[in-house]
Amino acid sequence: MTIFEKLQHIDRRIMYLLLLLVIAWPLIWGMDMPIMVSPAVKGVYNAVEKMPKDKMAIIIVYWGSGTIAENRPQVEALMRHFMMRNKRFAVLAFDPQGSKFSYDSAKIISSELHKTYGKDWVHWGFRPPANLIPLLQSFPHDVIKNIGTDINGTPLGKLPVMNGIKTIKDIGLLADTTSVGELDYWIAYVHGPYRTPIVYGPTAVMTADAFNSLDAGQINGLLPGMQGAAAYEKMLGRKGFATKATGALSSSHLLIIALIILGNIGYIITRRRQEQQA
Amino acid sequence: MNIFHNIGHSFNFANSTVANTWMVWIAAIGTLAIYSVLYKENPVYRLFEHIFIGAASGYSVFVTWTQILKPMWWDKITSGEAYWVFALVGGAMFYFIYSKKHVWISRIIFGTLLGLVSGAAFKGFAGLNVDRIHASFKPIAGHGMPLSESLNNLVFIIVLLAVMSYFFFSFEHKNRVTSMPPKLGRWCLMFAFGAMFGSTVMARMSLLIGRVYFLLGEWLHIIR
Amino acid sequence: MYILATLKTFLLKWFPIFTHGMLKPGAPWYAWLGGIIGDFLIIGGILFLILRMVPARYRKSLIALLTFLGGVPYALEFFWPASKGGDNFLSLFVRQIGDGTNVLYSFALGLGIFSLMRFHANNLIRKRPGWHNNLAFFVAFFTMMLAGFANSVHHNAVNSNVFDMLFGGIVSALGSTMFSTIGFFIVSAAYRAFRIRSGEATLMLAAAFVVMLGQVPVGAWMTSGIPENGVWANLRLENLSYWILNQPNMAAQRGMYFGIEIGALAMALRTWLSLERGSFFEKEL
Repeated sequence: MTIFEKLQHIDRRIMYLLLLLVIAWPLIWGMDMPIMVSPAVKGVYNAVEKMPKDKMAIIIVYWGSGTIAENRPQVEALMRHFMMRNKRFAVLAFDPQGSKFSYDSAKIISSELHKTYGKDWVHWGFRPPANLIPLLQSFPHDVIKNIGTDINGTPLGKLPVMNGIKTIKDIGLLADTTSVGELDYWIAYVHGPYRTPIVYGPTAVMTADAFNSLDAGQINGLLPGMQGAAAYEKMLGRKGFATKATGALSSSHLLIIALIILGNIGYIITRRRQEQQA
Repeated sequence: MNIFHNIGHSFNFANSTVANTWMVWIAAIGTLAIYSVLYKENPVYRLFEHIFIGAASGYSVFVTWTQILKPMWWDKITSGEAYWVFALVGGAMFYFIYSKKHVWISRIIFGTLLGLVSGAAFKGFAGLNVDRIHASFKPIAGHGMPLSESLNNLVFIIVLLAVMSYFFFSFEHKNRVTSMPPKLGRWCLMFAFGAMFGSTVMARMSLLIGRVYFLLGEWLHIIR
Repeated sequence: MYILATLKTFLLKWFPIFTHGMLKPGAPWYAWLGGIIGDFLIIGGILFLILRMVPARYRKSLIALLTFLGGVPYALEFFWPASKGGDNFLSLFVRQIGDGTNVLYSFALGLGIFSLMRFHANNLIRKRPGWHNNLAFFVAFFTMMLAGFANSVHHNAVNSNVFDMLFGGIVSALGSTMFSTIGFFIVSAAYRAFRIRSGEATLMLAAAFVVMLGQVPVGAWMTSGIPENGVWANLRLENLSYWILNQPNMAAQRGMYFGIEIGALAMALRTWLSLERGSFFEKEL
């Protein structure tokens, strides 16, 4: 086997080890590089800034432990932004794990920024994802009745944070953080008929198709995965997990590109030699 | 006595620091056990895989009851809204899926709910696509329009029409005029798939970084 | 709405015997549980007997009819002309469906749990190879569920910390680790499969490289020598990557989505009218 053939058949375990090393290196020793803020991320920031204070935002949590590294920093950055600007928000989870993750995050940020549960923010708890379409037909007309209770089983009508919130017209922003890509339902049944602004926090896998909605004005901005969260953290002037992880994100991307190039060099040279021999 | 005292203290779960230390160690052992599959398939990985499925299922049952069924079904019945009992009858119909003889009863409820969602599709189609169709009519020239915008809109129109023609199967693309746009459409699709792949890599790396961050930071405390 | 109210009054008059007639709010939980089970058995039993009487040849038609009727409220509400307020005669009814289906779908979540338990119990009882894993499933299932209920019913420091410990140490950690293994596999797959065998593959690779680099800080660093403003700024990797995503990629996605959406609408129509064919529809019920 020539060296070029070997280049095409590197053992997978060597690649795994290399990947671990290039991720660990920047985390341990640091790799500071400027984080660029794209217009899509600025769109999210501006939408939160523009939301009127008498309205409420809904942060939709449709992700679990599987994509926690991408979606949790997005949710935390959004929560922090709302709390910093004294704007009310509710969390609505369509994933049982996401329900707890988002509740725990909100409790930590709220205690840090001296906010009160039930007055400044509320968690509406988990709802079955299969019921999303029927829920979207009903809750815009009577939020309190159709959502019913919060995560602790308290009727929403008893919480001061819900004062003045009756219909979808009192909702100033929907922030959809998801690993599932159910954005189209929110656009179809809420943004379409009622024009409620939406910002989107998908996992990076779904970033490419989200630009379709961004161009059509159906979403005001988007946070592409963990990198989007890092850019958002930069706008908020805070270094969270996403910011600390960007170095490792860069190094791992470089490794993948290097491996693809190596594989292709081996492939091209081997093919050329075979052609010459033939 | 000291040893017993220390052991007792290690299990003092009323102390959140003690519980947190346990949590980090359990998580670290679990993480390494799952990663052991990267070397080769092994019984430790299988064991932890089953533990995860069991714990995640148990947690889902708990959450479904406490956050949905208790407040929105049980509490309603016990406060006098007796007609919610009918929901249990409807819910029980799903479980006829396990009966070979009466499986058709489960299809009544499945069919009704499928029909329900299908009926909403018309409203959904309009709500989703009207804005997108509207946004697809982009001008390629206009008074005071910058050149960059004109070019971008031209690219948009060419790519959109080419991709749509690729999915047009009503007649065979035999001659050059009808075969060129789909061919261009395929090239455009490959370009978009490349962009999607680039984003996918970022997503997968993020999740991995999350776990390495945990191992090095919360467990080993060696992160800068 | 009138029909619905009449139906509700009729059903309440005759059916939930225990929960409607005999129990009052404030009664102990076990009395309610007994009442609910009793009513369920009576109502469910009567419904089951009625359904059993349906001849086999009419069952498919009954399902098709109910599937169609299920979709009528949403479809008709959308197509029926609205009054000045934007509502029509179905709007109020349509808004109430979500409450009922919320509970119905929650009961359906148990289907997955039931299937899992049946599978693991079968392996455990028959002591098939790897039965200890099935046992571990049950131990983890009940431990996590009971920890949750214990924390919910008796909320104190110990219960709360134990629940958080199990959730963070097992559910969260193992779930995220499972998904993160894909990171390793994608490196290996990209290295082996991404070969520039054709023009299309080369184009795909070029777009992937630019997006991969342009979305992370190292891309911006690599082209940081190019001025931030002016025509040349378009060649900075972060701008080039954003342009690819926001222009050609977006247009291609829109083209694809138009096709997908029309297909989804056609599929919904076929499901609603029970026109879909397959093994399920061909069988005698």
